[in-house]
Amino acid sequence: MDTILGNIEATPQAAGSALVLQFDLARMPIRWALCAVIADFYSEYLVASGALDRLAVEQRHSIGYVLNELVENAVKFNAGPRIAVEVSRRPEGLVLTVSNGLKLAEMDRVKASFSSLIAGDPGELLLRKIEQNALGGDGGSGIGYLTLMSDYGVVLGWRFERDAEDPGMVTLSTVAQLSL
Amino acid sequence: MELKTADYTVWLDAASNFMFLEGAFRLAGTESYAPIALALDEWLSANSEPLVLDLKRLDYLNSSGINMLAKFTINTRNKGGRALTVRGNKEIAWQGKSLVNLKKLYPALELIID
Repeated sequence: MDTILGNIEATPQAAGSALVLQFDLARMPIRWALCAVIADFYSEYLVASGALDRLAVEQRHSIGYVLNELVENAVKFNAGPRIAVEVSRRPEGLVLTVSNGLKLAEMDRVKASFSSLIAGDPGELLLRKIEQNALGGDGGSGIGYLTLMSDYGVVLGWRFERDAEDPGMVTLSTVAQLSL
Repeated sequence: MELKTADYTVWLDAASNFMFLEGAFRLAGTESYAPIALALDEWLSANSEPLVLDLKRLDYLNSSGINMLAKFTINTRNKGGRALTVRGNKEIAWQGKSLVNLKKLYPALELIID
């Protein structure tokens, strides 16, 4: 059964234009440096296609930051054979969706982690997490999604869908709604 | 002191005690930022002068980069309230959005975005 966390639509929007890139990782791996290339491609494309005002430097930067965070996370945590990136235009802004594979056994832990991110004021949660990080610990900072909500006003949500081909896998889509 | 890669440059102007962070910080996780974090901490420990962190040419950074800057800010705060100025560029969107978090972590920090 599919599960939704956060304030996003239950099914992907069919209407409206969308630009989708899908990476078959066996043949087209995403090296770390390519995360930024993908993010910057979308922001440049949206300007060149007329979807964004050429002068809107701040919007381009925002799209680049938000998408870079989503793609970096997908690359970092992916357990599946492919990663997909989709950007669609809405009257109120953009919907940025990045999908990757997740082991079914990891789903409950990941859901709990995401639920904690949207359970309070993102600005306060961000500062609290940064203070925790400064006390020690290594690995990931765990602040990426919090910065999207706190600093960019992004409405964030996640869709978990059972993989039709592999019962041990789930497709995790992270959906970021960015007002422009 | 200078760290230079294809993506970024970190260098200290010892005469003015300005530390310049330039380019793009989109590195892979906290461990990739370790050389930069170490350089900042050594700068903090090596002198007692007011510190100026100049980010005016830091075009991009990811959340791990924000975490590194935040940790340095906390380290400075915890060193008895050392004077720290952060200089930003209002033309670079992430700076206007995220640098204010440093001020929240260390209210005595002087944040200049112009």
